[in-house]
Amino acid sequence: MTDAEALKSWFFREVLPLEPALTRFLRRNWRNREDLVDLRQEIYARVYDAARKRLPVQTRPFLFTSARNHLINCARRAQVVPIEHFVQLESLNIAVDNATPDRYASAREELRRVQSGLERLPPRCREVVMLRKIEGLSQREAAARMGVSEDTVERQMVQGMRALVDFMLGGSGRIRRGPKKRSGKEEHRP
Amino acid sequence: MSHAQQIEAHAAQFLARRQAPDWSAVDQAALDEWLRTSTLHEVTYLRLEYGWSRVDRLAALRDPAPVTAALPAQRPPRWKPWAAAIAASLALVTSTLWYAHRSGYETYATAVGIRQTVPLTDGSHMELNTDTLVRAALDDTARTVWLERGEAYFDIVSDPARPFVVHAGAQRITVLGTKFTVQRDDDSVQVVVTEGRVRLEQADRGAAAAPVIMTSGDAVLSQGGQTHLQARDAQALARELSWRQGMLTFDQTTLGEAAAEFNRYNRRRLQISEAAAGVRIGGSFEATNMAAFVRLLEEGFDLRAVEHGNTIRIDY
Repeated sequence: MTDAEALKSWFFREVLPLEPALTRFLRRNWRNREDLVDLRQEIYARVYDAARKRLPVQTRPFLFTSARNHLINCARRAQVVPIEHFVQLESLNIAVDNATPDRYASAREELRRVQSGLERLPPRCREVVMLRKIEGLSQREAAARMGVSEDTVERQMVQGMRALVDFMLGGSGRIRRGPKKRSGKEEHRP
Repeated sequence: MSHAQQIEAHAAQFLARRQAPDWSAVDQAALDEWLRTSTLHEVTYLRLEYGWSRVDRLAALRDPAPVTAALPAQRPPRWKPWAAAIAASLALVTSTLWYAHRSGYETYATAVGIRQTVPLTDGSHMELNTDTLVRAALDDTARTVWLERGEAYFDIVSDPARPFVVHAGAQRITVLGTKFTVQRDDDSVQVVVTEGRVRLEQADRGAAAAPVIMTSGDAVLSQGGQTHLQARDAQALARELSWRQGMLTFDQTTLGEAAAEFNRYNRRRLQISEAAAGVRIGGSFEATNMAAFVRLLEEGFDLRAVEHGNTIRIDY
């Protein structure tokens, strides 16, 4: 059994930095873009559960093999996937993705990345993130400063957080909203 | 929203609330329970935590210049005798004051590896160590500083009309005119007094817990509700404060502890194998010159250093 802290730190250090490469891999090998977030989450859970027993020696090949196997399983279950796609997956050479080097951004590059991620957020959402993240205001203080309810601040914060994290990990950084008619109340709240 | 996106929204809500000051043990239990329910929850939460910590750079890279514009009115420092200072601060530090002055504060931050002195409008100085975030609110009736993370050295001008109070996690430090450092790492807070006296209290316990009066040479480490008072001799005090000269000074320090210190000042990480972590070392090192330290370990202790991305692993 892997120690809980070691497992977490392995996931931070070795798996999550591969997300841009993983996302590219999924885009190339799965047609329906709308499944991307679900697929990625399931693949992460799959490698995390496997690593509970023992940490893999080499994370990168392990992650991409798991990703491929997961796509094959999904393709088997979803009968609408064209047969040639399925064949492609089976014969997929996962070594291709080794071409992208893992690279640690400098602090300056990283800051620039955060800034451009921020610029993509809608104004109100951006303000909430800045008040809370840069000025360190609490939810209540941010609400008072902006003259909106705490609920609004929390909603904007949750959206901004998801979009920014997505952008930091190589995604588009766009806010994903549910269907318009769904009200906030239907979602589970912690 | 897809199933995955619902989980993500839920995880983000937990993470946003977790950073709030009113996050309680009950909230934590709810989060733990939610994480235990499914690995999908767990990996989604970890992914957000990882990405969000990278957004932290936004605050950390900012110069220690005021972020907010709300400047308290400037006025010359006033000097008053000791006894009056103690009495006044005892009378004035109440939770009402604390809240009343939370609005007009300034934020100061240093990046990893950076050290900077910040003059306050009352003539006091704060010296911020690496990766530190501090908020300060000074006005006519109170001087309050929140140490959100990191370490700071305070050189405070005594002013009985305006007690100087430092909040660090659950600890409240009331200055009775003095020089001292506060270091905060989440819940663990260490206070070292070099001159004068301070009063230390658990802010969330109210009157229930007896305050500790610390004088020159005292060090208090408070962790998870436990508080330990230790005396420090002059040499040990100088060691504790060597960061103000950009140096780390070790004496019979284990390699594990030394590495943790270096990691506070550098983006690259030192990782010490279990076998090597107990090795004891001594000496002074430039805090940001990790390479020199690693070279010494290789040459002087016959240890092996292997670089892996951002991490340098030290082993036999």
